[in-house]
Amino acid sequence: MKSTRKAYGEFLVEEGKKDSNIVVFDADLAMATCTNMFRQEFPDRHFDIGISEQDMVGTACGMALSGKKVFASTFAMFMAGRAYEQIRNTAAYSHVNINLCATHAGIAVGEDGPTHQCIEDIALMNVIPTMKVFSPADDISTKKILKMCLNESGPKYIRLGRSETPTIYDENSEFKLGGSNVFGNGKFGTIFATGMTVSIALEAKEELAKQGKDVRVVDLYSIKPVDRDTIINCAKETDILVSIEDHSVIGGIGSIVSNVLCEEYPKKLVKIGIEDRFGKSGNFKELYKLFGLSKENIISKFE
Amino acid sequence: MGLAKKISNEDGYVYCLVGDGEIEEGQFYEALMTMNKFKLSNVILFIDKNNLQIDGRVEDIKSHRDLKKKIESFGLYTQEIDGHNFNEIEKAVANAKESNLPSCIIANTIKGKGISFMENQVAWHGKSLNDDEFKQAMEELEET
Repeated sequence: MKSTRKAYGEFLVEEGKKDSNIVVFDADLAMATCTNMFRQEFPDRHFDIGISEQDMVGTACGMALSGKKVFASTFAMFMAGRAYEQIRNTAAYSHVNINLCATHAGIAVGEDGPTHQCIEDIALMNVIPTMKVFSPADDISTKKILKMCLNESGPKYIRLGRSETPTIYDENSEFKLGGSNVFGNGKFGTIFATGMTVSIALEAKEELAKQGKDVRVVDLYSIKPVDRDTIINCAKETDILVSIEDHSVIGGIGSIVSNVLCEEYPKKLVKIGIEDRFGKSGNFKELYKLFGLSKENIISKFE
Repeated sequence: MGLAKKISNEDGYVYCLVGDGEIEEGQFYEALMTMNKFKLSNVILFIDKNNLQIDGRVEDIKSHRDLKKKIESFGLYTQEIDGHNFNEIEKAVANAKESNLPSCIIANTIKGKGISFMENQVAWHGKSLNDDEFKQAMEELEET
């Protein structure tokens, strides 16, 4: 069990040791985003811009244009929400090579409540031309996807979580731009998941297998570009399609999968996510139950 | 970019040009605070102060009150000049380079200067010229 933000902090320290060209920006949340781990090792390469997310993105872009390898972090709410125009016009339109690592995404933020629970960031980032969007499911995939980002140019948004989540991958697991990972080859159905909901989908898969319902789980860690071929194959090979995400059902992976299905292989998809409403303040596990981000809710869709 | 130059020990200056209307936005003041925090003496900021924005006069839409005093309070070495006078511009830039603080040069200007029908007219904030207007404008500019 480890949070993806903690894995991010560890990644920064590991890569920072190898490459002195890496610099990190934060907006007064270094302890929470875990960039503090990098700051302790490399104080001269960590820049706390204060509670000024718009300027953090602007300044980080200037640094990237000057040849540095830049990671910039704050909560997803303040990155995708508050600095939206700077991300769109300064980072993306100018094709700046920048890694925007947004932590505390989704209702898994818990007690901080709806003002801090960003359930729209996938939609907001996905629609920006040329933006690449990633959503790792555990600590290992976080590090591997971030490593991949170091070799990909242009603007990238990496969605990370606050809460601890089970490790589902091992060191041999592979990740690529526009890829996905499929667990199992069941024909009964497919569960499309991303981020913290992947481990929940895997639990549901095990329970369903006991009922004789063999389903597969697809980890859509690369949200943009998305793995269209795998989505189409799953639609062709399996009967029931379900998506689950800690994000609004409007504009999240459910919508993205629906778009692909609609264009290539029309088929019903049952979407699990946050309906057209805000989150709530509370313990994240209780919130996940309340909002239906649970294995029980997934299983009910296969009845 | 000024920060990147500073941490890489590179020479040179970063020039930034903004208008007096757009600095009603908060991101401008976020940037001033960042310039002050990192002592970016290699950044020279010009404010083109023509007192016009799309909806009217800046002082009517959202007054800056004493702009020089305000910018100074953010820790910038601030000068105010006639933005149409090249000698004053050159002198202000030289002063800015001498300073060990980030710099701001407030350049008082007249929008559309030198073209009779455009001068200080808010309607010409973002409009293009037709062929006749273009001809007249070019003739007037050549006379001055």
